Amino acid sequence: MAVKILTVDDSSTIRMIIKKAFRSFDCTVLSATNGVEGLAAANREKPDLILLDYTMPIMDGFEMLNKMKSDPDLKKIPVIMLTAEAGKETVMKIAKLGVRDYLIKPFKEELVVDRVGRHLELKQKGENKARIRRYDDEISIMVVDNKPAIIDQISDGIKDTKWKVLGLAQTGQALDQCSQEVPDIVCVSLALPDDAAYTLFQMLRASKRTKGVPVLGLSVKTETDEQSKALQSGFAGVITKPIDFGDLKLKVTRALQLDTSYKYFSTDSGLLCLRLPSDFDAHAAGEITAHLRPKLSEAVNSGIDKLAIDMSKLGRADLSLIKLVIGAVDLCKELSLRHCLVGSDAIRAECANYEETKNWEFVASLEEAEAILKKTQQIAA
Amino acid sequence: MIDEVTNCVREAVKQVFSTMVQMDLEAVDCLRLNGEERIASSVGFAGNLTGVVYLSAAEPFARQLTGAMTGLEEEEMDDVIVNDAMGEITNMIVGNMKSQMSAKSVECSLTVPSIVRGTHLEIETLRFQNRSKLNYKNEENFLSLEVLLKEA
Repeated sequence: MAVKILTVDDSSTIRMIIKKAFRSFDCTVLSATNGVEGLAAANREKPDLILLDYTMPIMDGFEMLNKMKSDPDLKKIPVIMLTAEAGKETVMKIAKLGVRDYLIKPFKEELVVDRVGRHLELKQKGENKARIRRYDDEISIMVVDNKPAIIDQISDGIKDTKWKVLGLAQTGQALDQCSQEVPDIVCVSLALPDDAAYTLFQMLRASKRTKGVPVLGLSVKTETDEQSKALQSGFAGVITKPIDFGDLKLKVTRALQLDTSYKYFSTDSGLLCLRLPSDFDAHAAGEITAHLRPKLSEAVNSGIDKLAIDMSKLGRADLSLIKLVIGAVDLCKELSLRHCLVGSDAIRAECANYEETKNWEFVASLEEAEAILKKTQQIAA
Repeated sequence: MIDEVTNCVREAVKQVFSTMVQMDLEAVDCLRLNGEERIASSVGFAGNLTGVVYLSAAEPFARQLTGAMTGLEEEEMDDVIVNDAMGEITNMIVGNMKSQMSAKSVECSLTVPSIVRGTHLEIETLRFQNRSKLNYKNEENFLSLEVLLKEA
C-alpha cells in the first residue's frame, strides 16, 4: 500500500516542490495550508509522516506539533519540520518538541526524499512489478574516470549494444548528475585521488535514490589489493584494465541481472530451441547454464515437451560446450523432455572423438529436428 | 551592520538560487528595466535587527523562476502561484540571512512575505536609515534585492 505523506505549509510553492519530489515514488502526498487544516487532515487521513512548516498564519507548526503531541492518535506520527530559519532559538524549540528531523530551506528535493526515506519505506513507482530488463535494452552506464581515454574505450567497446556511456572526470560531477537522473549502473576508477571512488560509493549508498544502483570499480589488473578493498566495501565487481569487454558486459549483465536468455532460447510451434552462437565461449556457456533449468522448466509448465539443441553454427566442440550439452541432455531426461541435437559435419566429427559424446546422434537442420521430434511424439501417442 | 547583513543576504541568494531554483546569477552594477510589470516581494524582520528585504523581478522572469522551482509549465501558472513563489524565495533568503546572523548572536523574528505588483515600483526609506542594493542577472533577465535596516 502506498505511504501517505502530509505536507503542511502555507506556501503553495513548497507544497508543489514536495509533491514533485515524491512523484516517482509509490506514495500519496496530501497537503494542508496551516496548522488547523493540518490537524484536521492528520486526524482524517492518519498519514505515515508529516512535513511541517514552522512559520504559518492561523496556526504555526510549533502549535500544531504541540497539539499533536497531546493527542494519543497523532502523537506517534513522525514529523519532519521545515523551516527557513535555522536560528539557535528555532532549533532549540523544535528539538524540545521531539520532532524526528528538521530541514532548513532552501533544500534540494533529493534531501527531502532522503530524510523521509529514513523514516518510511519508500518504493519507486512500479518497483514491485518491475519488468525484467534485457541485455538488448537501453542501459545507462555512468563512467567516472579522470582519464578520458578509458571513457572513450568503454564507449567504443560497447558499441554493439544499446548501452549508453556518460563519462565524467570527477565524483562531484557524478553526484550532481545522479541528483538529476539516476544511471542504471556506475563504473568508477578506484585510482581516483583521495579515495574518491569509495566516498562516491558511500554517498550513493546513503541516498534513497541511488542506494540500489550497482557500482563497479575500474582498476589496473595488477592492483589486487585495491580490487579486494573495493569488493569488501560492497562494490558489485571490479573491471580490470586493460579492459576485456566480454568481461565488462558480463559484469554489467550480472550486476543488473539482465535477461540474456532471448539470445539463446526461442519457442516456435511447440518446440523449444536452444541456439548456440558462432562465438560460443566460456561466458556464453555460463549464461546458458544459468538459464537452462528455469527455461526448460518454464517450457514444460507451458506444455512444451521438445527441445532442439542447435550447434550448427559452431566450428568446433570444446570442453565447455560438451559439459553444457551433457547438462542439457540430463535435464531433458529429468523433466521428460524429448530432445534432438543439430550439428554441422565438423561438430559431428569432433564429438565422435570423445568417450562422452561418441554416441550422440545429430541431424543437419532444425527443420529435420522438428520433424523427428514430431514423429517420435506420434509414435509415443 | 548594513554591510554585514548585505553580505549575509548575498550568501543567502547564492544558496537559494543554486539549491531551489538551480540557476546561476551574475552580480551586476545596475538593472536594465524595460517598463514591464514587476513583482516585488518583501519579508521584514524585527528584534536585535530590524528591517526589510525586497526582492523584485520582471513578471516574465518571476514566472521563469516559479517554473524552475515547481516544475510547472507556463500555462499551468497563475498570478497567485507566481506571487507565492516570489514570496517563498524572499522568505528563504531572509530566513537564511537570519540563521547567519543568529550564529553571530543577533536574533530577530520574520514577518510573512508580502507582494506588490506594478510597472513603476519605487521603495521609499522613511523609517530605515541604512540601505543597500544587490543587482543580479541571468541571461537578459534582471533581479534586484534591497536591504533596508533601521539603526539599532
